[in-house]
Amino acid sequence: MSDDSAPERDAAGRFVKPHTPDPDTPGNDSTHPAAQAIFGWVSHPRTPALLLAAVIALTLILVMMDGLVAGPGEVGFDTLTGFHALVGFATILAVAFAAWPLGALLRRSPDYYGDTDTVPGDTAEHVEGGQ
Amino acid sequence: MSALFTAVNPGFLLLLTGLIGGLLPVKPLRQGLMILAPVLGIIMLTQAPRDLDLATGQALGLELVLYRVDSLNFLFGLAFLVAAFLHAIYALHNDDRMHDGAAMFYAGTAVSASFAGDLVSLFIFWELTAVASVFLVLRARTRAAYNAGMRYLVVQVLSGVLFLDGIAYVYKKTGSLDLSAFGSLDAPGAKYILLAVAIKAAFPLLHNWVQDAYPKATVVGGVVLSAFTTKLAVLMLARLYPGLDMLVWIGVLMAVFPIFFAILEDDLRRVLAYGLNSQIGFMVCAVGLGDLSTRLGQMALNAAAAHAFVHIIFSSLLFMSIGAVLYRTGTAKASKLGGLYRRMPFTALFGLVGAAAIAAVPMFSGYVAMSQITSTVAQAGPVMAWLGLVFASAGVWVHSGLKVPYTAFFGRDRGHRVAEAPFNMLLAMGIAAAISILAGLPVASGFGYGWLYSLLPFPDHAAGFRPYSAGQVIAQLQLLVAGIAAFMLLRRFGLYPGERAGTVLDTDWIYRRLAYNLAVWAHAVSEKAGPAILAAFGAVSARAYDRIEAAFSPRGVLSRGPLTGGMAIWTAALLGFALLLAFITVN
Repeated sequence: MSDDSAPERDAAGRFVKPHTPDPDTPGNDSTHPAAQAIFGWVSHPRTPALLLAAVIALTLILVMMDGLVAGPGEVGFDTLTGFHALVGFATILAVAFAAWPLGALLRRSPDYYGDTDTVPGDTAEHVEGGQ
Repeated sequence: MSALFTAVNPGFLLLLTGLIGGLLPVKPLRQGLMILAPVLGIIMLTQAPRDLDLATGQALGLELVLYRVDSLNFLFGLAFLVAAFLHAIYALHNDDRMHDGAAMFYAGTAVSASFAGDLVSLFIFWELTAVASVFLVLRARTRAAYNAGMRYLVVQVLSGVLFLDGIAYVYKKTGSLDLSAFGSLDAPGAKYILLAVAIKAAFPLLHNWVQDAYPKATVVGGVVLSAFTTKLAVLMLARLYPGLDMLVWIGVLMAVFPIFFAILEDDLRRVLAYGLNSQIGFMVCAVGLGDLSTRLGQMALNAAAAHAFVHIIFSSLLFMSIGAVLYRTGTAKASKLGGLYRRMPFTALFGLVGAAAIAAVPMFSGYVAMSQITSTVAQAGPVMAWLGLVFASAGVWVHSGLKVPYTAFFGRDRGHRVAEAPFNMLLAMGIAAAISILAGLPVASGFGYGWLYSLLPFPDHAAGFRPYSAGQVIAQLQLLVAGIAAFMLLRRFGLYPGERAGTVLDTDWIYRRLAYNLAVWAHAVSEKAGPAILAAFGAVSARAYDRIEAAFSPRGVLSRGPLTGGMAIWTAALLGFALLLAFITVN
């Protein structure tokens, strides 16, 4: 019987931390080989902050371009500088804020209708006999 | 041979393939047929001459037009055939002949209905879509799917019954079964048929069969269902009710309200079903402006047809990507998914293409269609309708463009250590993604949006529309990029409503809970109080009978004495007076 729980030691015999694969690092065993090439940048710690800064900067650039490339507009008031940016920003805020009271009003337990068995019979577990 | 080739509705080929496929146990042969039939159907369709009755028949003394191609149904039929081809590839990993057969038969009914040239032929295929498609729900083999399938069937058959009522009314009043525009809702049968089409198009308050059944279907079935029924209904609206004013506001409402439900939903296939509802709203709104006697009306019909075509492809793509996630992980719940870009990067990539297309990101197919709709509504419709559609565009972006890919592929890793989707699924998604990109490229001639516009019902008007003007592109990019900024800021400050498991109530609550509980209550009352109520009713009835008999029978009080005689004399006198009065008045 092998001892799976035996502590790991280095060449000098010192105890070392056991190696556990980090699921957040693309390229480890459970990660698809193409994930690093396509989405490797996503898992970088600075990505969220950089992405947010880039998106805000791009919004401002587009609003400024709106002033430079003044089109005829479609309904009149849409020629106001930054109109579409305002609508896009405000809509998502409105939808998100409306979701809080609506969720409290309309959300019930998952088995409210007794529909707990919603996994269809043609998933990999059924078709291939599990992963 | 060539004449025979062009005289057969391609839908019939799919129907035959579906029937054979349902019986054929040899998987490679069956699946080969499933792929070949739509390809052959596309070739047949491209060879068919336009505006001619290519196949006719007779039944019960009625002249039926079984195959007629024109500039409107060509595009819908083509999209259905392409979708059937993609779905056949997507299903290759699965060895289920009943499912394969039902999926192809369902596609065949939709294609056949698209090319039907009279109301009766259309009705037959209309009903068959319901019968064939329910198997895609039932084959999920869960109790929830069975119940949803039964509800789905009831709703679809109700639509068919209303359609039949309308046809009977039309035929009785006009003696014609032509499939032509009604002109107004006062035309015989127009209201019945509109209600039938409204159910299939999932109009507000009649919509919930989509969100009920599609997410409970099989993995492949959800994809197949997303393509056909609702778009067939849009074709029928464009055929029978172009320019009907009320459709503008129904379309706007339809585009806007699903956004609020989609943001709450945990099941990503339900989110996509709400997204589908919203997209149909854009098409319905355009059909409402499609007055064929005006240039703008023709452009509106162009826009509806273009949007239907691209939506059939990118909606399939989105359902395919979430279907692949469901296939591998066994769940489509946002609260149980996240971080799958590491395990399923190609599925994530194709899902992002679908999300970009549905959100009308420039360079993707959704943009070249949606910009046509908003532009036409701005020119020909009320300003509030235009504003509603712009709001809906941003709303679609948040739920189908951002929420679906973010929660499935980029949110917190939930520990699913799964393989990438099977190759056939990736291939189908890859082709759908390629079409969603190529049809949106800024190329006015040849492949690009110019190709799509050349297929529209009024190609000359379409050629004059420029979706890639600097003003339009900047406006759309502003809407989308500012939307991303809002989404990211809300997430960063914890103000975005998180993904929570739960059932979100919709109009189906009325029949699934309220009506059901009322029925249960009535049953319980009748069980407990039934004998006492019956006894009380019997006693009251017996007493009433005794009283009536005592008063009115030949032995009763009213038959005796001078009062009866007096009443008879007075009755006769009043009757004589009335007759005299009538005689005098008439003369």
